Amino acid sequence: MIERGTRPDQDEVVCRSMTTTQPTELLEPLLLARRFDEILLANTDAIRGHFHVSIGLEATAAALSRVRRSGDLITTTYRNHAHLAALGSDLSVMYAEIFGRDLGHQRGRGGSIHLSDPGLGMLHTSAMVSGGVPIALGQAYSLSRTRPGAVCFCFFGDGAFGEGAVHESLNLASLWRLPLVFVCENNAPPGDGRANDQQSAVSLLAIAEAHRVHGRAVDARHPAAVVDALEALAEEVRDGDGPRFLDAQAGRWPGNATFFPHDATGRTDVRHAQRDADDPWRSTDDPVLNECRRLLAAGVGLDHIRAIDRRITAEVEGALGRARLAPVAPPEAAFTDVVAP
Amino acid sequence: MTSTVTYWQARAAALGRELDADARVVLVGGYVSAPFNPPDGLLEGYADRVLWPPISEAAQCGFGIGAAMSGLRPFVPIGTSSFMFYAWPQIANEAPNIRYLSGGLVTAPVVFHVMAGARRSSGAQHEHMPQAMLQNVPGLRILAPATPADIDGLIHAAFRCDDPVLLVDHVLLANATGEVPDNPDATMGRADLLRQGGDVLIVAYSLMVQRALVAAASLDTQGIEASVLNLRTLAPVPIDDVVHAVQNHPATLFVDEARGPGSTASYLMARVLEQAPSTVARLVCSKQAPSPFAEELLDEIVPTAERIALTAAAVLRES
Repeated sequence: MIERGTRPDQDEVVCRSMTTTQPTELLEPLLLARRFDEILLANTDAIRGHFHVSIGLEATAAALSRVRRSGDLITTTYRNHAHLAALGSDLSVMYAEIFGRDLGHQRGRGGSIHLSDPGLGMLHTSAMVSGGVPIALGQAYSLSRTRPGAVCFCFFGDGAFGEGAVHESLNLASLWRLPLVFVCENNAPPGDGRANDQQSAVSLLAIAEAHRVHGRAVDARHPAAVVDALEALAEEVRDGDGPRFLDAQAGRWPGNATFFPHDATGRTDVRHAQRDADDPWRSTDDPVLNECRRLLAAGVGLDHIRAIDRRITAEVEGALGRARLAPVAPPEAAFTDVVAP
Repeated sequence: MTSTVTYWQARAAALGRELDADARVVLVGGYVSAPFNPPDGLLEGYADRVLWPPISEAAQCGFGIGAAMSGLRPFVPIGTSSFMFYAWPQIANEAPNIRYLSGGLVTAPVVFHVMAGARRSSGAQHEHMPQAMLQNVPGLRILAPATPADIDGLIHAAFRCDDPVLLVDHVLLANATGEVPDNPDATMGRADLLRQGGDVLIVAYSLMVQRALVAAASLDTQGIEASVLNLRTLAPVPIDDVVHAVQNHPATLFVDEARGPGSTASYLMARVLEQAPSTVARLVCSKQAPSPFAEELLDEIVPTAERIALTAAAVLRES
C-alpha cells in the first residue's frame, strides 16, 4: 500500500495531451497491456521458467505509446510486457517468445524477461535489474549524433537504485547532457520520510536531482497524468536540455506479492469503475480503472468502454491461440546468432 | 612493402587510420596508451573524437555497447585490465548476449581495450589477466596481439567485426619492434607461426610470445630448435592451427601469463590432447599467487624467458 499524501497533487494535473486526441486513445494501450498479462496468467501451463507481468504498471507503458516518436529508442527490463504491448508489438510473437517458440523475436531463446522489438526501437532487453541503464547512455549519444530531437527512454524499477550503475549513469548523462529520459517505474511504498525501505534518500527524484538530472514525480495510478509528465519531460530533452527523470509512483498489484506472479485480483471488470470497491486495488490503485473513471467523468459511456475492451480482449485471445500452435525452434537454433557467421 | 616500427607506434597509427576511415569511430575514454607508454600523439591529433567519461566503468562500457547497437563504432579504452571488473555486468552479461537475445537482429560491435598482465611493480590489483575468465562467455571475441603487425592487423579486424571484441593489450609490449605491412593483415581466429624449429613448439600469446622468442634464441645456443606459435586470437581460439603445429613437433609448451586454472593454455592443452592423445605437452602459466610488488618476487610468479627455456629443455630430456 502507498500512503496517501506522499504523492503529487492530482488536482493540479491538466491533461493537455488528452484534449487533443481521441478520448479513448489512452485506454486502448492500457487494455492491451492488461489483457495480455491477465490472459497469460490464465495460461501459465505454457510458460517455462520464471516470468514477470506488468499489471499495475501499465500507465507508464501507455504514456510511452503516446509520447514516443519514430526514431526514438527505448530500453526496458525484465518487466517489459506492457511496454511492448502498449506500443503495438505483435502479441502473438510476444506470447510465442514467452512460451519458448520459434515464432518469438528471439526464437524462444530469450523468454519473457528478454522480450524486445527492434522495430519499435527496443533493441535489447537486459533482464538484470540495472543492466539496461548504462546501455541507454550510448543509445542516447548515438541519437544526439544522428537524429537530433530523438530521445532514448530508459525504463527501470525502483530496485535499480540499489545498484551503482544507475548512479553512474545519471551522473554521466548529466555531464554530457544526453537526450535521455530516465523513467523509474516505482512501486515501492515510501515510508519513514524515505523513498522506500531500501533507500536512505527522501525520494528517488532527490537522487536524480543530486546529479542535476531534473524531473518530476507523478502518480502513476493515473495514466493521463503520466502522459502529461512524460510528454513535458521528453519535450525538454528533445529541446536539448539534457536528461530528465520521471519518478512514476505506481500502486502495487497484489499479485506481485510472491516470487511468481499469480492472478490475485481476477480479470479486470471495467464496470468496477462505476462501483464502490472496498479493496485499495480496485478503488484507488488500478490505473486501468482510474482511466475508465476519467473517461466516464468526461462523458464517455460505459458501453463504449466495454466495446473497446471486448475488441481488445478478442485480439489478445487470438494472439494467444496462434502462439500456442507455434513450434519450438530446431536444435541448431541453439547455436546460431552467438557470433557473426 | 613493410616498415619497421615499435608496437606503440603501430597501435597509434592503426587507431588513427580507423578514425580517419570512419566518422562513426569514437574513443570512449583516452587511456589506450597513456600513462604507461611513450606519447604517441593520438589523443591530441583526434581530440574531438575522444570522450572522457568519469571513473565509472559500468557507465563507460554500457555507453560503448549502447552506442555500438545504434550505429557508432566505439573503441572503449578501459585502462588497467582489472578496472573492467567494475564493468563486468556490461562486458560479461550484456554485450555478448545481444546478438543471441535479439534473434540475430541486433549486434553490438564495440571494442573494449585493456592493458592486461604484469607491468611490474604495480602489485596484486593492477596486474590481472581477466580475459581468461571471459573465455567462458560465448559471444565475445578476444584478441591478444604480440607484435606491431598483430596490433595493426587486429585493430583493423576488430573494427570490421560485428561482434563485441575485447582487445587484450600489454604495457610491456610498447617497445617491441617489428615489421608492419602497408596493408593491415591479420585474420581473426588464425595463429601465426613466428619462428620455425623442429624440436619443440612454444604456443603463446601477448607478452609471452616475446618471452618465448627470447627463450627460443637461448635454446638455440643449446642446440635446441624451437618454434613459436603466436595465437593472436583467444576467442575463438585457433584450435586447428594449434593442433596442426603440435603434430609437427615432438613436444609442446603452452605458455600463458594467466594463472593455470581456467587459462587459455590449459583449455588448449585439453583440446589438443583430445585430438592428438600422444602429444607430449607442458603448461607454463603464472603461478597461483597474486602479483607481488617486488620484481624479484614477481619473476617467481609470471613466466620468464628463462623459465620457458628451462621447461623446454626439461621436457625434451624427459620425453
